[in-house]
Amino acid sequence: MTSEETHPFEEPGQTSRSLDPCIVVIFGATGDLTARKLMPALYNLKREGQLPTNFACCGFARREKSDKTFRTEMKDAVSQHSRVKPIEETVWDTFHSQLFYHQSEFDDDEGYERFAKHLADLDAKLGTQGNRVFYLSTQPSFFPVIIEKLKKHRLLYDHSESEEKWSRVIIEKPFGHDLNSALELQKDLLAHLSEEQLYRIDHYLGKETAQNLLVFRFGNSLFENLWNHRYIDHVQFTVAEDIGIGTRGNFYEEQGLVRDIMQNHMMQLFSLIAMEPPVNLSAGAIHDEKVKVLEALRPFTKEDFEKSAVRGQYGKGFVGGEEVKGYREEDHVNPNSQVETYGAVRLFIDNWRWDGVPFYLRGAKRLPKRATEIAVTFKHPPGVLFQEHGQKHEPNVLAIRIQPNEGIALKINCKVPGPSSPIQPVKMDFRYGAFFGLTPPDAYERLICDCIAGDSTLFARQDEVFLSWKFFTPLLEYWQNNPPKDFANYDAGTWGPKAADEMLARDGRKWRLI
Amino acid sequence: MHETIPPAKIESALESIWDSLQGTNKMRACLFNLIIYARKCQRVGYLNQIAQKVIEKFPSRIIFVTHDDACSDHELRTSVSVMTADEGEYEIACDLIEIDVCSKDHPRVPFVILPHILPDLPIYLVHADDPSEENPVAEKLEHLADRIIFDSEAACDLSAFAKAVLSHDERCQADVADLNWARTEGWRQLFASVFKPDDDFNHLKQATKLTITFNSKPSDYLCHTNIQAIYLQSWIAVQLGWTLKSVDSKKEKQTFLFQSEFNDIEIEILPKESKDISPGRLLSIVIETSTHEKYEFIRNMDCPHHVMIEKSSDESCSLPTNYVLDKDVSGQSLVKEICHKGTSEHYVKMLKFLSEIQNKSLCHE
Repeated sequence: MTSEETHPFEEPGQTSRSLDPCIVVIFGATGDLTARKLMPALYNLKREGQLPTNFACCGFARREKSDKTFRTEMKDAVSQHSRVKPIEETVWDTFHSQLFYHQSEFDDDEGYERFAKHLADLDAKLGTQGNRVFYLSTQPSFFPVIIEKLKKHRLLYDHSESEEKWSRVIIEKPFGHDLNSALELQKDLLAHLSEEQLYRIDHYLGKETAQNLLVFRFGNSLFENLWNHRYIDHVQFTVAEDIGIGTRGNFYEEQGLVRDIMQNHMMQLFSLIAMEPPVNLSAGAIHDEKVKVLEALRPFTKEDFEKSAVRGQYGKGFVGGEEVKGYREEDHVNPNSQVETYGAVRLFIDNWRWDGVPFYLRGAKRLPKRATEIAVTFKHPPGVLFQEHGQKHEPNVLAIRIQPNEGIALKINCKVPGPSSPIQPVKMDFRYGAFFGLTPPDAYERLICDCIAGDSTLFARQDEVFLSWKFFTPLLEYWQNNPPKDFANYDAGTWGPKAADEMLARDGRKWRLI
Repeated sequence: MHETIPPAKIESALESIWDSLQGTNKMRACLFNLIIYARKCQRVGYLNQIAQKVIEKFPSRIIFVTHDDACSDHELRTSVSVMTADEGEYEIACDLIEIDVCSKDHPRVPFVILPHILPDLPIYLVHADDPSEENPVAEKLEHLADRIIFDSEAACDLSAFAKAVLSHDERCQADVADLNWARTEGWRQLFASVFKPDDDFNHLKQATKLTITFNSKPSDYLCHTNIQAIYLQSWIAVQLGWTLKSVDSKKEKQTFLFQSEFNDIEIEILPKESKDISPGRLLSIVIETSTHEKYEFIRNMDCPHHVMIEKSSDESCSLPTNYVLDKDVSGQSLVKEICHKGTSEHYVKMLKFLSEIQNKSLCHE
């Protein structure tokens, strides 16, 4: 049966899609991501009946351990990190028997030979039919060697050779360090697999609230007519974290905020907000529209590096009422580090829809609270009605909370009850929790399912990645060549450096207090 | 203060309270963020009362900060609860976050507050401490606010207070207001109403003497009882373009001598104790003019929010009329100030006038 034909037992729109039998292999299975996100995601998919019946998950890592030890460790991880607690023993009892572990170095041919046999055995016992998802939860430097070995040992298939089984690879960001390295990585990967087999995960796209952006924009007639430069004054994107870099000093010193969050997650959200309606909901159509936004981005000039971009680094301060150290005092961080933990940029899209509308993006560590939000600020209404003594009232704001307190709020002006006419802003507020009552699925649950289903809509396409790097690489190079003189320039627990406020103040605007 | 919780648990503790209130007809509401910042003293009880009054009219998230500068420990305590106001079938309830802090931990206050500001809603700050005293923490809070409401009751030196508020007005983008200024609103509107006709206004311009009597009986919360009287006389003088010649300030009487284009004017401010009305409220104003007109505004102590107005001259005596002020209820002034937009130009001009008076004993206790 081809993918276009519907199984006689399936009814689109009435039953959830059923997935092909498969084995999910997690490279780097002893790492933090597996424990915190991947295994809990698989467990919850199992719990909700969304995994194929014929399924297995195999961890592939360098440490020695048995299947039993791995299963015990994964049970602990799921107990701790699952979005639904406590763990359901009846579910776990069936799930854990589908978990396996394989020890090998990532470049060991003999290890891959054994692994191929192991997977073939599992196919025979569990009916997984040779379908594979390889999740590379490792340092990016290992991607080329792993994929090369997978291909060499016929674990990665050419799709042209066989329609009976498939193999796909999921890789995590960072997709390169800059444009050149991203292109190099792509070249290395495509030597062994096709673009259609490659799934670049950006977990923000898996969030319910991010997926809702398309429904909100294109499933309601109310907003689309206003979604342009005639009515919108500016848009602010905020990805605020209250945590510091924790034990990831080594990693962060190589990345910085722009590479960690802005070049990928924020640009994905930015594309969804700014894109044109796609012609249909296929992965290709949606990616095409996102790419058009990125192509229309006005590149930074030399002047923009100073006026339209701000970087910062947190010093000591207070978060959650407790004193916290500055970035340079964190473990594995150079005491003279010039790496930014705060980035803010002002972008323009040169197309008919967005002409002249600034998009302000800011992302940072150690801000007062954790919040990811997109706020669309509308222009003031025309005319002089209700303007008291030349003072304008608050503009309307549509705030989309990606996390936490997922929901959408609309700020409007209302008359205060009473004989005089003072005007007060009020909020119309939709909250996911209040309306839907359920704990929404974790992003990784949706994304892993989509990969098994072969749907790449919620993954980053190669041209999106390259265009984003093309935009940010010159800025990163400028920063590299012009080290900052004022780090640390914001206290942990505050909303960022003064220069970021000044950037908006020059435009007569200010950052939202969220 | 309710049970202390760590600052990091504020939102989750509030959610727990609201979860426990499900099914109890309590409606969570919030129109704005109200930060009340005060030094720990007896006035905190008064400020609690006015916060309650505010939420009855305007549900809001209240963040109440009290700092104890007498305590030299490292201590910052936070607690959460809900405040309620009856509204028919539903009880409107609002979040209350209390922060109690000693000197050493005072700089942490803005960091504790920042994550708990509700977005897209105005931020009003009641700065119930003396703004003429240097206070970096209060300054940080002022930069958050859309509107700062000062309380001149906190100041012992009214001239210094005026200077401080003026400099805040210049420095911050926020509007500024003053509780005692709000308390004189009724009288100012009364004057605007009575002296609107040209004849009456021309008579006022030729005033030779004003006698303002105020309730000098202090309470636990209000002891600078002459401030409203000083505000009102300053407002009249400034709006009419009178020039100050001298000030004589004694406990039993304050005398301000002005000069107008027509003549000299003497304004006397006289204390008088009354238990029937809040401290500082004006009891009467009598205006005499060079053309022998007399205007008397006398508060009816049987019905204290009514003011009887009598106008007389050598030739005639008009029938007394009644003017209704707002009822004298705690918190009413703050509620009024919250509704206003912008900084009153009259208030700013009055402050400029006061800031130039070189007399530290303007405020009486």
